[in-house]
Amino acid sequence: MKKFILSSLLVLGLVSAVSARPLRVTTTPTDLAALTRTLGGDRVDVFSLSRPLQDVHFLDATPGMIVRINRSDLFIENGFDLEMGWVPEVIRETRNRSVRPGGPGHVNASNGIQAIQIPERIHRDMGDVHPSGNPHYTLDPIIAQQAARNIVNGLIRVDPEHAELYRANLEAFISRSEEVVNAWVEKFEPHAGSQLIIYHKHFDYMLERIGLVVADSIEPLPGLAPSARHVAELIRRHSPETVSMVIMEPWHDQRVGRQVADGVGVPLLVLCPTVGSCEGAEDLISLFETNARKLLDVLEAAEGE
Amino acid sequence: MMNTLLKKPRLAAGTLLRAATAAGFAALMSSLPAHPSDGGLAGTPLNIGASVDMTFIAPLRDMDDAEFEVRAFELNIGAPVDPFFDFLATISWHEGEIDLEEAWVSTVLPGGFKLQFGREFIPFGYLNRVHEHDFPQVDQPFVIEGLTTDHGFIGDGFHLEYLAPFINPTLTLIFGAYDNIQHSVGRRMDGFPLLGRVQTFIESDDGRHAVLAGVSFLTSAGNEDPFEGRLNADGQTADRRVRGKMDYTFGLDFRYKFSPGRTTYQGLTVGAEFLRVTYDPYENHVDFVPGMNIGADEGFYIFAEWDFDRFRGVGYRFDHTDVLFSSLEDDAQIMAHSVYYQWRPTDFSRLRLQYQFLQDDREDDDEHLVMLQGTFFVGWHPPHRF
Repeated sequence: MKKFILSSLLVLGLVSAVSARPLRVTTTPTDLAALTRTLGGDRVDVFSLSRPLQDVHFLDATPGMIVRINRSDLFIENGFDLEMGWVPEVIRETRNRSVRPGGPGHVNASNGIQAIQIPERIHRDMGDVHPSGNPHYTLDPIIAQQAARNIVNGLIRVDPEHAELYRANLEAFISRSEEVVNAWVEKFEPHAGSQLIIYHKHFDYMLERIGLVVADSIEPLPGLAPSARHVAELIRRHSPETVSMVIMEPWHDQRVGRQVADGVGVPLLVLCPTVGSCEGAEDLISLFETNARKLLDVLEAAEGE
Repeated sequence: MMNTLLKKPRLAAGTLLRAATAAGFAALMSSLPAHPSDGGLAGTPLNIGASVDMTFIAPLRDMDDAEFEVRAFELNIGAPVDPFFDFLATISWHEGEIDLEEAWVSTVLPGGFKLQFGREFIPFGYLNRVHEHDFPQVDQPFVIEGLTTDHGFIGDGFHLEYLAPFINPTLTLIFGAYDNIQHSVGRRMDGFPLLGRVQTFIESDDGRHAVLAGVSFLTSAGNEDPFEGRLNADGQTADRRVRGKMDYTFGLDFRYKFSPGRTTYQGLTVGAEFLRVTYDPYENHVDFVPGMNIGADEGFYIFAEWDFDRFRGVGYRFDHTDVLFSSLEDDAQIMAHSVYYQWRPTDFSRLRLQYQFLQDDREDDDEHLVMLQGTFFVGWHPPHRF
C-alpha cells in the first residue's frame, strides 16, 4: 500500500512538472510558429524548422530536426503537401510516436481548409503542382483561422488544463484578423480587379482576399525556371495598361523579375513571403498588413501618375 | 578504366538507389498516399516510385569505345505497415539483372532507439546509403567503387540506432549485425559482420553553416569468412583466386553545407570520405599466390559543389585511392580530377555533363573521359536529405 501511494505521488508529481513547463511545439514554417505563439502565449515554447527566408518546399531533412521533434509535445505541419519532400522522412525517423500523424501531438494545420487551385488532374507535365491545392494559405489570416482552430485543438489535446486560455486566444485572433483584414479589403476596393504578374503562386490567397487578379506568372509552370522565350512573351503580352506591377518572393532570381518589370514598364515588388522575412512581419496579421501596405502603395502611386 | 584486378561481383542483393533510403522514402511516402482513394491498395496507402538512370561515357582518345547505357531502373515500394512499423523495398534492374536491393522494416523503440531489420544498405559512411542515381557526380568515387562495391555494402541483418537527446550538435550511435554483407572483395562477407558508427550533426545558429560527420567501422566476427576474388597479380595468371578474411573496414565521412545568401537555393556543398580496408589472406589456400602480402588498401575522395540556384550547379571532385589488393599490383593507385555541370529542370529530372582526367597506374596512358547522365523520377518527390 505504501508503495502504491509513493508511486502515485511520483506520477502526480511528474504530471504536474510537465504541466508546469511550457509546451514544446515544433512547426514547419515560421508562419505557423508565429500563429502558435499567438494562440499559446506563455504556455508554448515554439521552434520553426524552417527559417523565414527558406522556401519550405525545399529543405534537407537533418538529424537536428529529428531530435527537435523527438522532444516536442506538439508537431504542427502546414499540410497540402507543402513539405512533402522532407517531413515524411523526419516523421518516420522520430522516436516520438505521439507526434506522428494520428497521434495526439500531431497537427496538420490545413485540415478543414478549402484550398484554391486544386488541379482537376494531376500530371507532372503540369509542373510541380500540389495535388491538394495551393498550400500557401497562411498569407490570408481569414483562411488561417481554420489553421488556428486546428492548432488550438492540438494544444488542448496535449494540455487540456489550459483549454480556456487557448480558446480565448483563438477568439481574440479571429476577432483581430477579421477587423484588420476587413479594413484592408475596404482600402483595396477602388483597385479591385487590378491585374499583376506573379513569379510563383505564393500570394494567391491574399490577392484573392483583396480583390487583385493574377494576369500571368513568370514561372511558365509551377516550379519551372522561366525561359528567355517565356520572359519575352510576358513582356510582349503586357503593358502598364494590363498589369500594375510584378510581385515576387525574395528567394527567386530578382534579375528575372526586374527584367520582366522593366520590360513591361511597371514596378517590381518583392513581398514578404513568411513571418520574419521582413521587418514588421512578426505574426500572420502583421505579415498580411506589411504586404498589403506595399501593394497599396504601388497601386496608389500608379493611380497618381 | 575500372579495377581489373577483381572481377566485379554481381550482387544477388543489390544495386542502385542508395540515397532514397532516407529522403527517397520520404518522397515515396508522399507520392500516392496523400489521397488513399486516389492510389491506395485496398484502402491502405501504398507508395510507389520509380527512377531510371542513363549514361553516355566516352574516352576522348578513342571515341569508338564510347558507351551509352541504361544504367539502372529502380522501383520503390514503401508505406507504414501500422502505427508501429514502416516498410520499404527497392527492386532494381541493373546490367540486365533484377535484384532485391532493399527490403526492410523499421520501428522506433523507447529511449531514443530505432531498429531497422531486413536487407539494407548498411549505415556505413555517407555514400553507402545514397542510391547510385543520387550520387553527387555521374560516376561513383573510385574509393567507393574500388574498395566496397559498385553497389555499396548491402547487408542482411539489423541495425540499432540511438539518437541522443542533444539538439545541436546531435549525436547518433549505430550498431549493426548482419548475417552477411555483399562486398566487392567477394560476393559475400559472411561470419556475422558487425558494424559501428558514430555520427554528429552541427549547424550554426543562423543556419548558414552545417556539418555532418561520422566514423564507421565494419568487422567480421568469425574466422571462416573468406573473401575471394579473381587475381591477375603478375599480369599473366589471370584467373588465380585469393581467399582470406576481411579484417576490418574503417571509414571517415564529412559533409558541409554553406548558404551564403538569405535563401534556400544557393550554396556550397563539400563532401569527403576516407576508407581503409584490411585483409587477412589464407596463405595455405591452394590458389593463393605464395609470398604475396595483401595488407590494406585505402583512399579518399573530396568534392565541392556550388549551386547557383535551384536549377544549376557546378562541381569538382578529386579522387585518390589504392586499387583493390594494391600490394599485388605494385601499390598501384588511381588519381582523378572531375569537373561537372548539372541542370535540374525540375525536382524530377537531372542532366549532368562531366569531364574526368584519370590516372591509373595499371594503365599505360592517362584517360580523358566525357560523361553525360540523365536521371528521371516518377511517382515521388526527390529526396532532400542533408
